[in-house]
Amino acid sequence: MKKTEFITGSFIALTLVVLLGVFFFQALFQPLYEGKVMPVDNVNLKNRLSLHYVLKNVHNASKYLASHGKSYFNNRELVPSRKITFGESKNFEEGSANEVTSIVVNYRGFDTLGEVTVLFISIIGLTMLIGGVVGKKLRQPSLIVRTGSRFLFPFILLFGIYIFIHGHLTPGGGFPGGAVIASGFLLLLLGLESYKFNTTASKIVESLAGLTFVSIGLVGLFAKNSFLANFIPTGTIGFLYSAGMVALIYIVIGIKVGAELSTGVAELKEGDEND
Amino acid sequence: MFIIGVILITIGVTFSTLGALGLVRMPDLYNRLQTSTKATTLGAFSTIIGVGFLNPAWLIKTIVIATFILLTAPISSHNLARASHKWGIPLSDKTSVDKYDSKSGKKE
Amino acid sequence: MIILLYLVILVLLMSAICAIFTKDLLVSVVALGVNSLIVSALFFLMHAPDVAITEAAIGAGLSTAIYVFAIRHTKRQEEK
Repeated sequence: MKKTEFITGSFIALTLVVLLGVFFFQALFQPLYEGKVMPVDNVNLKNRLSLHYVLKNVHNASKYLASHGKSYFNNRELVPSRKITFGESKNFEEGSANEVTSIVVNYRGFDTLGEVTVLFISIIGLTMLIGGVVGKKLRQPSLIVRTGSRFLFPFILLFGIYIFIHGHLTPGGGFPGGAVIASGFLLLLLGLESYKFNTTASKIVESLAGLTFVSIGLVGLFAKNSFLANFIPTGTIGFLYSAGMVALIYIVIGIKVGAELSTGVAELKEGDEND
Repeated sequence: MFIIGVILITIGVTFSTLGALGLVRMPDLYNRLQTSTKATTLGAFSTIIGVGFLNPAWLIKTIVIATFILLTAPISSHNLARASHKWGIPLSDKTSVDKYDSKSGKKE
Repeated sequence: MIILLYLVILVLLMSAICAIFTKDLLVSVVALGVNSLIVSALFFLMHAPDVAITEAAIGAGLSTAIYVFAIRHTKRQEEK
């Protein structure tokens, strides 16, 4: 590496670290809303969407609530007063029909950013350790397997994209969709002898997706005064264009995780093929 | 619609039971693979399509799943049989011809 | 329903014991893949389908392939 590149790179990194430090230091001295939950968009705590869905669906909580009444929650305030209908209710705090998604992406969005970073660092370590090792050659797959994997790959890609585009409606989301896409690339790597995985393109796609994630968070910071806040209007529950920022972030996470995992598997396989 | 769905589901269930019977009855790994692949392809395929006919809102999704099964199950069983043949798992006593072995140039 | 759950847990235990006690490393890795497939079925039975999808794709697909790639750099049989 040239010296000027090194100096400019370290200068950019230093400025980023200083900016983040100022941000955190400023956040330390903000008042803490005196014991209440921090409001994202001036919501009433009765209308919290995740509570409604948790009570409605999982393990028959609503029946339990109807039979036991007040003893289920000591606080009577938390019991939902308004009914939610699929496809009609509008303008809730989240707007996503899948409660896991609304918790993972919106209430704990910063945590998700940390998880994606952990995955990125572990893939870097794996490729650095095992990337260049030379091993035995793989056995040639038969004609049926070669043709079949070429036919099957678009189906698997379609399934992964479906999972992470419908992440706010049906079970699934960014991480499962990315894992399914990576398993499709694994099928191509094992089944087709002539297939070469383009590592530089996947690295570019992966870093662009990470940059998009952080910039969506920064737009939320400037628009709503909180990092990764939901700044797009949340539509009707159950439609594809609902949930605001949640769908965008899950698409970005799906692309990023798929690129990362398939890069890791492809680097391992390439180390085998050098012989 | 309902009658077609019920007929398809009965076809699937009979093929699944025949496949389970074949897993017990057959003498050899390769014969067992053949019966169990028939069970998974035809049994699961027609059961899933039948469910799609019973509930027409799911028909497109069930057709996609069924084509996926139709593509994957024969390929995986073919690869299992090929790998076990190369690994050297013996055929049964009643086998008369083994064309794959003679083609690859080995004796016996 | 509870009987089905116990049957699944029994198969899970059997595959885990097989993964530990075999001398052949490739058989052990395949038993581990079967183990995580059954774990994903268990997640689906316990009403967590998103975790089930992730477990089936990563545990049974990707990590099994990574183990196989790693075994091909070493010896296949375990030494006494």
